[in-house]
Amino acid sequence: MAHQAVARLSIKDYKADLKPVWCPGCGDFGVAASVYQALAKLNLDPDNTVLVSGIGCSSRLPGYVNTYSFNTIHGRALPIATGVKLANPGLTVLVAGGDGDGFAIGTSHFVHTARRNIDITYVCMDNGIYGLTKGQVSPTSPHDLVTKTSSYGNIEAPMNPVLMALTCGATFIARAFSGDPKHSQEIIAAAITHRGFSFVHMVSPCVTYRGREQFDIVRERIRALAEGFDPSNRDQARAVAFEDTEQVISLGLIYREERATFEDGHDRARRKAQARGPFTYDDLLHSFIPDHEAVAARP
Amino acid sequence: MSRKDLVVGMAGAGGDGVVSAGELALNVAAQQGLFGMLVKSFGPQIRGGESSIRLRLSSEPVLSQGDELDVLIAFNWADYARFRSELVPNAQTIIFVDEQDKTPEKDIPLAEALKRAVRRIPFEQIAVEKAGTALAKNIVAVGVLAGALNLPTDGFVKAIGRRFAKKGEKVVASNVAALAAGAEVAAQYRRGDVRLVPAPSGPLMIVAGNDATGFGALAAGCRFIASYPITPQSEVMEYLNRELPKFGGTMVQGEDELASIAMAIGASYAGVKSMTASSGPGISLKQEAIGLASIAEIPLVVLNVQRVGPSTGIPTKTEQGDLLQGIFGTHGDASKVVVGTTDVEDCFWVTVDAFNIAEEYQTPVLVLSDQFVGHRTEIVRPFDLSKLTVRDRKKPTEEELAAVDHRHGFARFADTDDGISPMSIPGMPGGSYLNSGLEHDVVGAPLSGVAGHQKMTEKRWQKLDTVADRYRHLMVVAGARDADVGIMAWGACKGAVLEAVAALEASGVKARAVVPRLLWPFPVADVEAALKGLRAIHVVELSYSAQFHTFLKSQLSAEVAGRLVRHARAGGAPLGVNEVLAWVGSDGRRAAAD
Repeated sequence: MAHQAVARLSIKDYKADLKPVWCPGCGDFGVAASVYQALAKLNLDPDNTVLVSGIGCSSRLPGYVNTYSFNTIHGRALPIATGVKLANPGLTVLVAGGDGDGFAIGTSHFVHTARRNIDITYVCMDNGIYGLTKGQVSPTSPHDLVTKTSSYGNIEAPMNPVLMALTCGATFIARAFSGDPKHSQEIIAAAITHRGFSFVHMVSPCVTYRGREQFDIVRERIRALAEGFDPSNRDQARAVAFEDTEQVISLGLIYREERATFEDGHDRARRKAQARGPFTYDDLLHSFIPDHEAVAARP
Repeated sequence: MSRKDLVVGMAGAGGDGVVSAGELALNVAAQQGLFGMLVKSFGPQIRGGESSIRLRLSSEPVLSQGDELDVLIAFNWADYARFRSELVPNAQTIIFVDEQDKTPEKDIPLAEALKRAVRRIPFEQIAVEKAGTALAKNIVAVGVLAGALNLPTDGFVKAIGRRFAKKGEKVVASNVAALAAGAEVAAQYRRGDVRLVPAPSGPLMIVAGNDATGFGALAAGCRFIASYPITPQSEVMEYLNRELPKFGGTMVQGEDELASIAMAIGASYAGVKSMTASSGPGISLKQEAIGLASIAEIPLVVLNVQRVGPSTGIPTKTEQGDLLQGIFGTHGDASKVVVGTTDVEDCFWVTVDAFNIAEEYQTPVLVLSDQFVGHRTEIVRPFDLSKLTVRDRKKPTEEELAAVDHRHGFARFADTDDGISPMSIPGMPGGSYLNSGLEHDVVGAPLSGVAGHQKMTEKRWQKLDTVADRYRHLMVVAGARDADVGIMAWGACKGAVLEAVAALEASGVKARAVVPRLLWPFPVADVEAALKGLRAIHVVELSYSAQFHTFLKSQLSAEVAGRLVRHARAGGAPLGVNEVLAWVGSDGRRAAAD
């Protein structure tokens, strides 16, 4: 996270005046509220913060947050955010998206963004359904779920985003529930503060295509991580990641480690490259001239 | 008659050192003040395998690969056979083969009349005798070239000294002996009609097209590239991987083509001049994101080093089959700019222009290069960097940002006279706004009405109205003012077309070449002015479906379009001068075969 010194900001400073397209009762309202609160809690300068998304219900979030916001194309939010962060590592970069955007059309970017450990925060709002296109099966839909494209029940096994994050090398992995905004905003704030790739698996029910009872179903399953749970312990994190979320949904910080970031690596490469510098365009030109004295003279 | 240039072909197996012999000769030629072009061709093997070169050296800047071979060296006929369509000898060509080749005469892959003219030279035997290793047979071959073509050997001797310096004096001496022996044995076949006079212009540079593109990007201010390896583009990302960090820039090898263009869009959105580079298959994958850069008005350069398609096609061969995809690709009415590079030096300057246009007009710019230009190496005069002009995107001033009503955000897509809206960059106080791939209004808020969509589409298209006028230097017009025969081409066909025009003029036919580098928005007025007075306009291209011809018909007035004559073939090998002359006819009036 970049150092930012601005006057104390409040939630309303982060709230854009665009009216959300979400259905009444949508879990994503809770996520938006948590994001405003987290940004206010950290007092982040909206002009030094970038919120990127792809396509989907949850990817509409950037329109509702007063930052530099970029609602892009389906599945590509993470690489676009990667470009933003590499261009200006001083920015705080957030990515919002959903299960289809992140774990179907954009899956490979999740793998590689986590592996690179670039310092961005990814909040993936998982509702287990394609809502924007009005109710098709998603990669995190439970087995046997009946949707418009799984008329006889979902015949595929669901993906496990938390396990995947752990496998791919994410250095901050947490789960939150949009029905618990207080906990969610703490988790999002911690994710932003973490230096490295932070993944927040945000359980955010779709009341329209999964039913209004989804909130109750999730509430029955959620539980806090056990007393004494150690997020620096990979084995403990793995045990949580392997839990069947159709039975138990553990909330909290599941895994955290410190590791050099992608930006650190690029800094190091630049320092190595510049060791014999500074360089000019004439140097490049001379490198094409056989045995040019200026090139030969360089140690 | 004394010739000002010569063309050499060489083919052999992996390990024969064909390519390094060509590079050595090119190096020596450049140091002696000669111009040249080296075209390499390889078999499909990942490493090793047969390879060939075509080397043209000249007293004057070289425009094309040259049609007629003065010398052909085959280390063996089996490997040569793979390149027989690229290296075709004629009755004047001096043909050498290694004495050790045992191919029966009936199987030698040459025309019957040429088989008897083949000179057998003990390349390998000389190499072993003089240098103690068969590996030196390419040095013997370079000696044979020097002997047969009457080239001074002192430059080669110096080059060998540099090349083998680390291996000690003995190795240098033995390789020099191998060179001298080759020159001696070939002296009896010497051609007296070739005389290359060095240009007195100072040092010359040796540069490959893809390296020139990378250099051009860097010089234009590019500080970010994300790309995925693909033939024949990879040298561009490799060059920038090596050079960008020296200038504070960043190169990322993306996990795929989609991520690569997405990263470049993100980096440019955040204020850094950015590009992505690929070839056909990768460019197809990038199409959706090109539309995002268009609607989100983000400066972006997308390089396409074209190769034979569709699908995997022939990755190591050239074609011009991506023109219409470049102009009309991606869904929706996406405004963008398309430019084409015509030779190695163009790879530098056209890339600079591409960045300038992208920045100035806040638009994606596609640069269409191709395998022939990208992979070939030329000896050229050093690029005149004093002519370098670098343009930047228009940004809002602090006063403008201070006046922003923050309930609505900065009007990033504000209505302006020229359609170009100041672009705020993340980090600029007061400049935050919503950008979106959704159709949007002036502050970036999504809109779905007809009037709004019409207005914003007009803005994105009309802002490009001035490109053709402001970048007029992108047009190439050469030949007679009073010509009545015209030849039109784009991209790498330029060299063969310019030589064909010169050949027609030498035979008394007044001709003119018109080669636009700016392909979209098409500079209709300038092109029609350049075509004025021409009775026949031959359109030549390496596209089976004649994409350029189709495109020209859609852009030019019916009267001008009625004078176009279509000449098109599939790619696979660069266009030759003789091919253009055969298409056009000796009087320049031949109608198209169809």
